[in-house]
Amino acid sequence: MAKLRPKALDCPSCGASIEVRNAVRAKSVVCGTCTAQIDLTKPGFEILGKLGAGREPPTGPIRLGMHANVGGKEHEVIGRLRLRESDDEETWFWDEWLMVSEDGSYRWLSEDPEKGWGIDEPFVPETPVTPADLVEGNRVRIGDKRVLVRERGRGEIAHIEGEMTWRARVGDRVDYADATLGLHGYAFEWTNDEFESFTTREVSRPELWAMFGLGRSQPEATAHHERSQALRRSATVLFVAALLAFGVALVAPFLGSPVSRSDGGVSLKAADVQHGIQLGEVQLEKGLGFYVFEAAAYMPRGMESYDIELEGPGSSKATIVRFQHVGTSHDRESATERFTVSEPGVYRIVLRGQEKTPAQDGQVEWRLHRRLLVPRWFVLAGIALVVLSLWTFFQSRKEAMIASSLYYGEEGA
Amino acid sequence: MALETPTLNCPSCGASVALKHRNVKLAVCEFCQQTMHVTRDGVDPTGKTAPLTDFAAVLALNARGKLKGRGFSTAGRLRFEYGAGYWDEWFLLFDDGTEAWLVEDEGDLLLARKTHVSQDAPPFSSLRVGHYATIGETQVVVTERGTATIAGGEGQLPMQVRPGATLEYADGNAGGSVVMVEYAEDGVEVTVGEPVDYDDLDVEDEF
Repeated sequence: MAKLRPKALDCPSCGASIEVRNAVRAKSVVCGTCTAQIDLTKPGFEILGKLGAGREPPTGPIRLGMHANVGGKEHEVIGRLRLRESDDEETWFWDEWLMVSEDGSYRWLSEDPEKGWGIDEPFVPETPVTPADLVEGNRVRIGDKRVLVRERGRGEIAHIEGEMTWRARVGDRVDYADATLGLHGYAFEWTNDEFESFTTREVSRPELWAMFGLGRSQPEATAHHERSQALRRSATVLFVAALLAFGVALVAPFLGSPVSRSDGGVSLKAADVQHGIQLGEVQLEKGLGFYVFEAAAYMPRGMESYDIELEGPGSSKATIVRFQHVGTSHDRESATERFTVSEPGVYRIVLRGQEKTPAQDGQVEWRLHRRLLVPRWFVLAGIALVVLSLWTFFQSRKEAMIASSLYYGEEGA
Repeated sequence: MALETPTLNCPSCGASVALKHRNVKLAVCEFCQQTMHVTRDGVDPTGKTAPLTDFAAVLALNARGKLKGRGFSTAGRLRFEYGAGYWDEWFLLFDDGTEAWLVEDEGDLLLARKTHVSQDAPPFSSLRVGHYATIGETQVVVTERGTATIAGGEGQLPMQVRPGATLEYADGNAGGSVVMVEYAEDGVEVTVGEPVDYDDLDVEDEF
């Protein structure tokens, strides 16, 4: 059975034809021609009053009869309430647009000139929420969440357009409260006799346009909006890439394999140091990755420095590590160095002392690893990606602002 | 073997009214809108009511259809008016001989059963919207309360009501079920309803 039951009637005041979009649920409707509010529950359609043409016009782009895609369903805007609230200093207002979907379900679209738009859907809290709980600054429990009551007030219906599911009257008052927890929003409305709860979701300006297809009539605005969306997606991808780069930098030191190491500490006879002591022989390869040589040496007094060198094929020679003795005590010093080789082959690791023969023996421990990735590169890449991501995000905001100003005709695009 | 249902004559216009089930206690003459209480001793007229009007209706008197695959017909209807609108309670007779109420309120449908809990209901004045109330053995969150008037009825119903009578009511929610409590002259009636999707209702000759 179809839920949406449209039906037409002739206005009892001016005779104009009025199309009611959901006749089984509508209890009142305002004639679009003469603004008579008609009670649909009374025989002969009693006239409740006249609202007056041109009063309380909408401030945004939404109008009765517009269609929107909300949650994948086609909706039509069928009614509007203008609510007004005052305190000692000022008066403010907002609109509540009633939308009906093709399956007969209802949603409210709230439109506040300062706060923007939101979609409200009725729901039943798992645990009761009472008006007494809804004090600004209080936290109330909704299911497993404790939400913060941000605002409470009392609105008065100032104007009505279209059809409503109850006999709403100008002057009717309703208390309300809004609460949030992170991205979750809730709204509550009550009178002495009725209490309703809604989940609310903020709707951004670009999202509203997309919902209502507003950009179709302004190709330039649409182009800027679409560019903004694409840039935002790119910014997200860049940011995720940055996070991945930082992640790789964190795990890079652990990616690789050991090549060789000393078997405990290698004794360094004082007499042999100056001539060179072979610490080991290793097979080294060219290609992806690099080698990390780590050594810890006890340097006796009188020894200025040790060099640990690689002697490779074709009498090539390179110093991997230099231990420079600082101070006067017999200290243990360590060093780490990264290197690659241009020619694969067997290399000898040789330690040579500098300058004079030391007075005492020393000792060195060493190990050689192969690593695939250089963490520093990925950190730099991550930083670059973050910067690029931020720049892209700001470009997307700029495009969105241009789109917004083009649509509304504001100055200073 | 077909069950024989009795007929009665309308005390106002004399029209013959066939009673559709054995438990009819209120009947409204289709011709002149005379309402009458049906008792063992006969018919007690209670007055005339204006015909119920519908801008659009889900059901109509004597409609036939299927509800969740079960064939039914609408035997009667009561309308309750309150400040912001009204709700209808349709009395259904299923083809399998069982009965039920289908409540239609602001376009929502509830398949309901009614019970009397005169001793276990809290006073109406103690009910507060948004608060718990214990109705019988059920804890209910009160979502609405108010005063309604029986605007009228049509067809045949299994209870005696007086059109124009007022009653206090409260609606609430109990674990997903809708609970409606009506404080009337003859006691407190609790209606517990399960929401019915429109897709589960198939009415012949939609209105």
